[in-house]
Amino acid sequence: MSERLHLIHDVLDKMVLGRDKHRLGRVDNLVLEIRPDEPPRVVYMEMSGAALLNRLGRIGRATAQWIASRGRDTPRLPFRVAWDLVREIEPASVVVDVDSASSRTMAWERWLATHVVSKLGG
Amino acid sequence: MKRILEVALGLVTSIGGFLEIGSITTAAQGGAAFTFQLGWAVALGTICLALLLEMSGRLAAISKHTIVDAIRERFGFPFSLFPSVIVLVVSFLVMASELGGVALALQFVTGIGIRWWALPIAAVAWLLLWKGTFGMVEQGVSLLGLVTLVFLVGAIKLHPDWGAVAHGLVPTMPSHEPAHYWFIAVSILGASITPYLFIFYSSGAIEDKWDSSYLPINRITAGVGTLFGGALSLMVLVVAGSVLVPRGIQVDSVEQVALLLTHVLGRWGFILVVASLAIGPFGAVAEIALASAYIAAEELGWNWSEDVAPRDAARFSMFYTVLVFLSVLPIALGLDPLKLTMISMVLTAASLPVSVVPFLLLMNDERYVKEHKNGWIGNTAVALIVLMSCVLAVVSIPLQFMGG
Repeated sequence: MSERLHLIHDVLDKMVLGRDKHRLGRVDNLVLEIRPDEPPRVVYMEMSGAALLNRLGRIGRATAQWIASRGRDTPRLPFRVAWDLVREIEPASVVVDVDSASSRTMAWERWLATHVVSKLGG
Repeated sequence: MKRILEVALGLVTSIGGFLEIGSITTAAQGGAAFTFQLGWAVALGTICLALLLEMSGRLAAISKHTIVDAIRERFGFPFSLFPSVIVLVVSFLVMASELGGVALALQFVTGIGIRWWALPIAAVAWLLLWKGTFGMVEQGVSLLGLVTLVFLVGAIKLHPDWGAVAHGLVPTMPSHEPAHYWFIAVSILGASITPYLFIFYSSGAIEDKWDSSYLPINRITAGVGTLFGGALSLMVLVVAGSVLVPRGIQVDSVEQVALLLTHVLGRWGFILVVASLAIGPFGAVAEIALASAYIAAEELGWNWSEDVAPRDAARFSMFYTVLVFLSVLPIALGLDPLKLTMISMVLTAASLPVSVVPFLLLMNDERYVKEHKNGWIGNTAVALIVLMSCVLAVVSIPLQFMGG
């Protein structure tokens, strides 16, 4: 039996868990692909501060663009998880087939843990 | 047997952890200025807090969501950012004033100025968070906080007119200084209905892995425990009204609060009140730092738990670390803790609708709380009290400043 999925209600802003059930972040944005002569389809979820800023109106979008373009050769894109990697949509979270330990969305977490927290005896 | 122990511990936590610098000083100011007439503000604030705590525990137990988590998920980031930022800012001010309270208590004992105490207190609070568990933060400090029962003992020994105390539980118009009356009423309400309390409570319920079997425990600890805690707050007002009004003393510094019970309990009265001024606010500093980190982590989807090593929730741990040490600044820069407390309590009251209204909507959403939705009594009571607090705050702040 098919089930209906409401993207805004059931997916957007939900907690995202990796395959080890560790938190990866939240579904900060959803990206759809518009295809000629075919219905649109969800291609990936975005998770990052830039994706969040893009949802905060004109000023938010301008800030996101400024951050993305600042001092880099290539713009830094939000962390994206392909929709194909979604394994389960639970009442409180979305489970994806991503290894949280090596995921880019956890880069800050890993950096803080290694360079700051461990030095403070945590 | 385990459940009975949990109920007992929950009650002790609610009672021992209730009084902090905000509730002590606002109740003492109310008692000193208007005897028992502002008892109603303590009662209303306590009832509202009990209802909100019960709701936040129910939300966590049924939906497995904390309040912040559910608000972000239900209303989306552009909306949830607003209450989260407001609560973080107000909580920071409250945390700084609580830190000032502990520093003042230590100044009474040692004679060393409060500015010098701010940093060491923050360091100890941080150490508790860094090395401790959720249980240690929540229950450990609250057990020590049972020292605040000294206000109950003091009130009984003062033999106040209990009829007049009961009469004060019914709201009445002030006979003098109306702006001051309403300003203190709002401060008392703000000190009781502090958003960090129910955010901390719901995150704690998730930390403790509550499910629907915890609903009765939740009702007892949030309801009965908070009412007992509120009764302690009322006793502070009764003591201040009994001791300070006959002498014509107004509370314009925390030192006057420290001396409240020396009249009836002698040296021990002083020691135990100072201990209350130190322990309650110290627990509040740790809890507010933790609650703020819960807000940031839940809003942004970071790993969070006080029961894991800091390296396993690095952003969460660093958030409370930075916040605890930043809260030193207002006191170290010389801000008066009493003024800071009064302002932060009134701002808390003014900001209540921002945090409470979306929470109330969630508590009426079957997708989150299933058949455990709010009844109309809870909805109406909380909505009315919160709306009244906000309106009173908005009106009384300019009146108070115009009146000096």
